[in-house]
Amino acid sequence: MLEHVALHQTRFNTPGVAPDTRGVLLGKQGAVLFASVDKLVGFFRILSEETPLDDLLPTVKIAQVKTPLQSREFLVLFHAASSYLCDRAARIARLLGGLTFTGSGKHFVKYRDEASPLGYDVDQLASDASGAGADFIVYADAFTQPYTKVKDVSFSQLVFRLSPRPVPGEGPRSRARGRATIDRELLWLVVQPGLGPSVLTYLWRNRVEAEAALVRREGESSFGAQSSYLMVRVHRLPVRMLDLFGDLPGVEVHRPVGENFVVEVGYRHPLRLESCQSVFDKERFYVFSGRRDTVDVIAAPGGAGLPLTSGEHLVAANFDLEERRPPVAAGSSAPEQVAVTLRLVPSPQPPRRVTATLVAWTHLEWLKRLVFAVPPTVLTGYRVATVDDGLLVVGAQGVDGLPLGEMFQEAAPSIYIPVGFEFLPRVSEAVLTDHVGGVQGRVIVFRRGAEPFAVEESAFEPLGRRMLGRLEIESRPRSTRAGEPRPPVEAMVANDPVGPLPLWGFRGGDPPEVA
Amino acid sequence: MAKRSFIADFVRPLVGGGTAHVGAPIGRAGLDKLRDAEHDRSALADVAVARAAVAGELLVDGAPPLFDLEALRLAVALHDLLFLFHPRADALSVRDARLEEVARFAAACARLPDTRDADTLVARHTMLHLFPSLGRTDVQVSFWVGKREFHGEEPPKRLLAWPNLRRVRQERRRVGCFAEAASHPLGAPIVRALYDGSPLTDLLHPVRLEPKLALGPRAAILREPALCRLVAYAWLAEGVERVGGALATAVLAELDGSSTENARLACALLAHLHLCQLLAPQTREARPTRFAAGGDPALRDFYGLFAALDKASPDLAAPPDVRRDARLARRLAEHAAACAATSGAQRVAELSVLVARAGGPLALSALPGAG
Repeated sequence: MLEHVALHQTRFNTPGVAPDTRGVLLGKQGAVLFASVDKLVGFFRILSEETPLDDLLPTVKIAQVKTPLQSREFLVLFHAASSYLCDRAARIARLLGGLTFTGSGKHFVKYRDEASPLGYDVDQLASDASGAGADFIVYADAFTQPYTKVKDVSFSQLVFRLSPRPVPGEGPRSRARGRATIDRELLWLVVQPGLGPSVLTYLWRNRVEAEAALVRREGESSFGAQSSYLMVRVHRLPVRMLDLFGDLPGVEVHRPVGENFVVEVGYRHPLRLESCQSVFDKERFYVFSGRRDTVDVIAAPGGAGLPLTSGEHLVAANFDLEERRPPVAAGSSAPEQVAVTLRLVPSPQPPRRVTATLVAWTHLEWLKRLVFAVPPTVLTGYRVATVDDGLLVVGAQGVDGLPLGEMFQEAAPSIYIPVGFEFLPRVSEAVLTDHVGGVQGRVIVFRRGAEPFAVEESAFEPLGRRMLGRLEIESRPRSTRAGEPRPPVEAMVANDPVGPLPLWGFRGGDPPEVA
Repeated sequence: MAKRSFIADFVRPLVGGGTAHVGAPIGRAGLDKLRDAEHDRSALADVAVARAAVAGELLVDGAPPLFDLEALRLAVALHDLLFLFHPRADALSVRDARLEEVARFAAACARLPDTRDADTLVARHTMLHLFPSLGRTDVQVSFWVGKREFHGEEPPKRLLAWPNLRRVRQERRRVGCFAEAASHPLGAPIVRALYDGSPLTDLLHPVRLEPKLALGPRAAILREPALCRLVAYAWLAEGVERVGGALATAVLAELDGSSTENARLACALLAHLHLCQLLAPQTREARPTRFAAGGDPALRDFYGLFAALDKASPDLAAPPDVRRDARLARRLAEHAAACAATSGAQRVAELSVLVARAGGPLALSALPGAG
């Protein structure tokens, strides 16, 4: 017989149970009893939809148990972390006709329900005679039943030994309407070796991004025929190809469910695999095939996934060593030199942007004054170098802010000519650069009526730095006005000797009132 | 042994760290003597500096804490509480009735008038800020014919003599005085009285087994903007992963329907913490789609409660101006989704019902100083 647990009850006949913070009687473990494997699978199916099983799996044990009359049932044991978890398990179990218990070790008493919101306790434990040799004893309203364990059922057995079920509307015989809703961003194709080149070529011709790896199933006999196939990862597969591959014998389309496991399109696993990722070894790749009704386990050492190769490298291009005639040898000779003088002439074109200016030394004071008027953001873009003729200021974004000196525009990168002039003959920038011997690490300036000169890039420095005098900065010690950060402190208690009569003279009463 | 000074040997280490010496209980007569006595000025200066340092971390421009009667009463209450765990308190000469008298006096001493003045509350906290971490070194000496325990005392040298011959072995372990007192039948009421006397100490140390954090009795303080900010920032500095579970448990306790006002305040405080966490500078890393709760159901509830607030009544989880900013609104939605994923859809649904039943629609502006 079971007794209802009362609020604030502290003593119980069931061993290893105690009320939790809500007052609900809870043992270390929860137990759910199912009469058949269908109900067991249904339980995990619903539970995996509602909560990640990864948190629960380390403590889950599934056992096939039998009664003294040899009827076999399934008992799911899990760590009862909280009564919320047990409530959820009890609700799902009730839906499937299962019974929920709580306890620890051997004795499990019925978990709470609407009739007794704080749970149940047994009036007395089952006698040794009735429970002798039993691994578990469950106490329900109407019965007390000992169970003996037949075998353990691992959770991975549920994952890997259950067949994927067809999804209505997505199966191999459904037409495009159902398949159009499939997420086609990333899919996997399982291609039999004979079809590999054709499929890869087809994808390449249709500009579908694909990577492929040749894989072999694990665990096959060394003496048997080695069955290997091509795993192709495709991106944004068009619907028409999805339909085509879905109907093509020798090709299966899979969708990724987790990092290293895929399920065939049109099928779904009875459990929600995303919520039990800890079952899958990171160094393996799992292929759940619906039509073949198998699970292929592929070794992927290092946990980095399959060693994929871009599909375009695998496309057969029908190379032939006799495709072309052998290369013909041809001689070469230096062309005849045609010397043409490069001249600066006034240009009919509108002037280009002024990107350099040469400020004569006589205008240096003007330049200093202007520097204070130029916005700091503009000033940072200007670089200056001192040459014999004055200060050469260059700015890639233009030096319009300095209306001083001889203006230059850029005829080619790092080659400056006066504004309103151009070279004759009109050569390309590359030829001009070659003609001046390259501009690597230097700036070439062509002036009117004077010889061109070059300035090393290292001679340039920011204009602001050049024009400002150096300031001596006084260093100051750290101020303690804001207070030092408080170091972590610890207080310990030491009990002093107080003599044989420590309360001698002690007087209690009310303390003095605070004003 | 030289006579101990209460200020120098108990109060100074209590506020500034060190070894606090516990002797015979002080009682009413001792308290009167301490109030009227002329104390050592250097010890008082040390106490003032240590308390000012603690207060300076909590209030920017607070008044320096004074060593007044309130401070003295808290110190005496704590001293007499610690005496209950003195080894001589178990002596045959000490009757249980007398110990109960000591406990009654200590609890009465700890009860101070209610106040919402930030300076006063911080000053009280500076006296007890080390109380939750107060420890004691217990020594167990085993020798060939038995073993002896010493609580907060050094074993006598005669007991340690001839260690090889007598096979003497010492085991030292640190015992938390707070946990010991909070679970003791005589000590628990004094701990509660100390927390009632210094509610900031209660709020700033929310992670503990007993007594559990309760926001209802502290509602008056949390309605003060400066104090509420102080508490919230201290929790954020400690890390929501650490305090979140205790806070969620306290908020759930307020959702029992006893007070709608307190339930609203508790929910608003929780949402405020989430928003502060959300508005903190973000790194370039992708935002988590699920928070690491480490299997702690209370911490899951901390996240689940925010998801429930966002689901049951969106204006309850964030002020309206947050949602008017598209960028903030998007981040808020992502955060709520991550909270929901952490807690699980089923639990969020349960919490939504609790929130809706206890609090009803709530504007976050109910939280003082939320702006």
